[in-house]
Amino acid sequence: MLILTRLIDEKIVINDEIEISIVEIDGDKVKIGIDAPKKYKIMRKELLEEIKSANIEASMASTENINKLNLFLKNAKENKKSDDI
Amino acid sequence: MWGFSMNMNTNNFGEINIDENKIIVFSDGILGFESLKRFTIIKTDDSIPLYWLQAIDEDISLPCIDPLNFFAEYTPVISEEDMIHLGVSDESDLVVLNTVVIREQPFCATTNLAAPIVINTVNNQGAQIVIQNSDYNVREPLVQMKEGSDNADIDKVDR
Repeated sequence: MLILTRLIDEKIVINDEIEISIVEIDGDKVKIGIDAPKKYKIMRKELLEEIKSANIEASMASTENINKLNLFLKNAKENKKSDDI
Repeated sequence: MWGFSMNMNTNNFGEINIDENKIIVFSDGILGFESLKRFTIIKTDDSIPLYWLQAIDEDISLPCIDPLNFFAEYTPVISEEDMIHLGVSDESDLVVLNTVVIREQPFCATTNLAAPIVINTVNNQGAQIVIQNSDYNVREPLVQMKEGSDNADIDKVDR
């Protein structure tokens, strides 16, 4: 990994397209500004990790728990219907 | 037009028949399943508001909901770049689903409102899209429990 030392307001340029600047430092918090064309998706890595683990968990539902949820949703829907009448 | 269908054995649904015209291509894959590009949607029971995103090249399936059945006010903003990526010309061609994590207790199920599955029904291209600058949760409880009650309150189940 390339590691560079920067002062506040100093920038890094990637490929003439992306500019990264250090905006503010407060204790262990660093505010980073990123100027990049919209085609680049910029995301916090934790969010992607969270989505990934939720996807994997979603795929692991056991037949027993699927059946329980199906029944639950079916009943909820029927209760809702009878409430409406 | 020539079309074909194929059979596939699945753990959740037994042997299923997949129509070529119902194959949805996720060119970027789905986080955690990046190698899987082809999926189809399965609905097992019309009385249950649950859909399944079934991969075709491996027996992986993710339960999903139509968010409108549970979260009437859910309106994720899909970026122009994502629209272009999916080849969308008319927003009404889009189908939005949210994956569900099923737990031992049905009322503990959660759904991912932060990264919906978005499908362009015109060209059958799909993607899981991260909604930028939103407060949507990756694990939003699917049903809101009424306080002091054993009954779940579902705002609006498809009727």
